[in-house]
Amino acid sequence: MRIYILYGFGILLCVSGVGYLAVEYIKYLSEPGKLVCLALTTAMFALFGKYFDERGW
Amino acid sequence: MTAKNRSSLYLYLALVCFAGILAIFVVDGYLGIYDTIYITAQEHQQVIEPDYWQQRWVKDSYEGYSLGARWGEPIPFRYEIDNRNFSTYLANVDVSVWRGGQEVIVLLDKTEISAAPFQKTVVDWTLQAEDLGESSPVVGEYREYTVRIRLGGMERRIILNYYPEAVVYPEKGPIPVPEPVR
Repeated sequence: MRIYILYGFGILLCVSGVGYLAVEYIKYLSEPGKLVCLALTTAMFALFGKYFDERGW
Repeated sequence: MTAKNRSSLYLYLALVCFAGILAIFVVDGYLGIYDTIYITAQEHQQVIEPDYWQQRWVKDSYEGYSLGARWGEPIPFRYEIDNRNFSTYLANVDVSVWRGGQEVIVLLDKTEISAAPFQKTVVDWTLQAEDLGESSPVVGEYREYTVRIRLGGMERRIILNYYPEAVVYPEKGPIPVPEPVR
């Protein structure tokens, strides 16, 4: 149970950090930079989904 | 590859993607050269942040930043260059005033600036209305000038809307008395 609370904190902090960076710096990104960010975000969520699928969730 | 190893591989790849996103934000979004312009007109300091020039309507229409000023008052400018790179930034700053596509006056001509890594440097100058070579606009007239600031490959435009030095109202004469209707 505790490990899942830690997971939750970790995920929350990661999302907050990325959200802060996005608000502050996304306006300065170049067009290719934005495209690569979008691709990496899509890949990240896909890989997370595959990871949890393999774990049997 | 066992199922556990395969699932760990997906997790590690997802973390690599996450690290890549952070790296792009830092390298592409934070690092670079950022300029801030401070203009004092009518005792109010206006700040033009670097992200003003990133707005789509500014980039697409190449609009400048517009502000009003009273003829006769000096307008001090402060141009701050923030070098967010690991190397020293060297460039020339050119500042000129234009009207109707014609250059009116050059305020700074290839002034060299140097900014150390992750340091700021500042260039100051003042625009005097009498240097523009024209008299004050009359009541009801506005005159616009474009201040062009060039730093390396970047150009910033500030549109100054000058209005008359002092408002002069015409003197009122005696009001005629209407004749009575008989």
